[in-house]
Amino acid sequence: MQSNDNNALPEIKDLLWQLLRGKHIDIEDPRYEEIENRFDEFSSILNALGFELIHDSLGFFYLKRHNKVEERTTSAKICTLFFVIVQRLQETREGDEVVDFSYLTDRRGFDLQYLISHSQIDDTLSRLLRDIDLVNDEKIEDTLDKMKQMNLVEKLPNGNWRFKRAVSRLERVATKFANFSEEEEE
Amino acid sequence: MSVRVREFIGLLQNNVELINEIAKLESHTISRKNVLNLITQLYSPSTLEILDNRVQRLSTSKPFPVLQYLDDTDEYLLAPKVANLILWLSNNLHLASHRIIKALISDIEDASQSIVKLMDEQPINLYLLRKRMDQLSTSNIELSECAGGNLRSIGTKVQEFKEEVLDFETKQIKARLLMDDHLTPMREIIDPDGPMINALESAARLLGDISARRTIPQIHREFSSNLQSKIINNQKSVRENHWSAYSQLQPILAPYLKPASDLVKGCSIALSLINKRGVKSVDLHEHFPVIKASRPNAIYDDEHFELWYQRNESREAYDDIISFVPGGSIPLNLDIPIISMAKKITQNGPTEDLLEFILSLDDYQMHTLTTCNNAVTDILIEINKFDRIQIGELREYTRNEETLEVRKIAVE
Repeated sequence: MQSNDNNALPEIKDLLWQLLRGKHIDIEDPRYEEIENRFDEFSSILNALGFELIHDSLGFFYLKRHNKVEERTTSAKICTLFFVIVQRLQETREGDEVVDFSYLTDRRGFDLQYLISHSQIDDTLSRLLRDIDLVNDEKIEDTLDKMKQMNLVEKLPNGNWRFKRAVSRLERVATKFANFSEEEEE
Repeated sequence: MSVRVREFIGLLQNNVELINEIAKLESHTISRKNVLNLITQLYSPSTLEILDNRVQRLSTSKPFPVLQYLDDTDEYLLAPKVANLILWLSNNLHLASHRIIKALISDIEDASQSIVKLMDEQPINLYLLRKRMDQLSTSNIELSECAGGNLRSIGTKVQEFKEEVLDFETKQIKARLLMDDHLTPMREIIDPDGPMINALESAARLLGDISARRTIPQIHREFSSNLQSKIINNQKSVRENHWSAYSQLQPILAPYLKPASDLVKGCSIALSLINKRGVKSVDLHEHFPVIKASRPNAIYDDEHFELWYQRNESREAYDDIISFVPGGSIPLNLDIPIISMAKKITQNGPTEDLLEFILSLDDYQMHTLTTCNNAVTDILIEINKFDRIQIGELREYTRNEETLEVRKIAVE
């Protein structure tokens, strides 16, 4: 444990809470460096709470909780919405650019609310969203807001949504499925 | 399958081309004369008797006549059930494909060539000339109908394509097939420099020549002039319709014709699985665990942080039991901080024996030998410069009652 003075806790308390609320603290956050410098200290506190502080090589911190699965619904909503977004981005992109992590994190962002509105997507995608209770555009926006709280996306002043680097976690989930085959599963 | 049903299906199979042609006509009716002409064109019966027999079999078939003769108009009506079946099949099986259009274009070219030959002869054989112009007219009408049928066929396929279960790779293959088998050949056919325009333009020019020849009787010249207008109109409408369909269909297929990243493939496969088996089957929470955003029972609050922090500040390194939760007692062995340890080791210069070094640190006296050894591996991976690592001789390490024989690892 690194040495700290007794006044240090209030400073990091806010960061701890942000992490505990599921936020990904990325390199764009002014306090990212603080966690990096005091990683052991943060890690110890969070370990004691039953969490593991993960420092992703892409430049963000987040918490994991081993052996305790929580929030199935939120996870399903976020992942499915992400899959649908990628599918729609692939459908609507122009030129030969590949929809990958760099494309997603483009600083100009995307008009996600329009792109994945029930009025814009085909019946199958719409049904998939309705199946996870994203029955209307307001509910979709709620999930985007939740993703914003987690720092997976941010809303730009022009109304577009920009993916942050922590979305690489979702990208990894998706690429896991890229190698999926029915035979393998069976 | 009963004999009667088998015979009926056999009859349909033997006459599918004829039925397909009649199904495309308005009200599915055709005059007796035209039925006989069609049969002659399609099946080339060697005798009149064979031709009549074919018509007879179709009009007396069981359980119902495929072609019902209508006395008052001297026409045959194709049974609605059969007509619908054939239209459905032609939409799904692409009976009206670009290949038929190609065949019709070839017919038009043949008729045009025959007309050119006839026009070079003196005197012009007017009977044959009219016959060839009739051929041109028939092919022109069929071309228009087939183009419509083909559009329906492509439309149906694309609709199916849109509604099918999502699977990016399958869709990529299907999109490529639709493109290669239908849209590209169709585009080639209707291209301004393509075979359809060439055939129709030269036929129209030829008909213009006929209508301008004063040596040819007026009746033929008028027919030729009318046919020329029809061919020009048809050329325009068939092209326009196809281009309009092409421009609508191409964007639907386009995403699947572009190169796809693993990310796109993965999302598509995941959506396909969700679509087939439901979202629960995919266990997304295991792939992407989400921490609860709020704790209604407030297990942890600021006070807990403060308490834990104060206790931790005052503890000795060998305090192996740290209780954070009030009222409870959690045995805690702090993890060896891999990242900072790796940094420290690389900054401090050479370390002769990495495991020994970790075992010697005061902070990790309570850690097991296995934990320390695992930390060595993690630190080596974190350092990630394997040219700086030297593997030495086997050595025995002990801690408490645990013994481990591993090779000594030095970091330069």
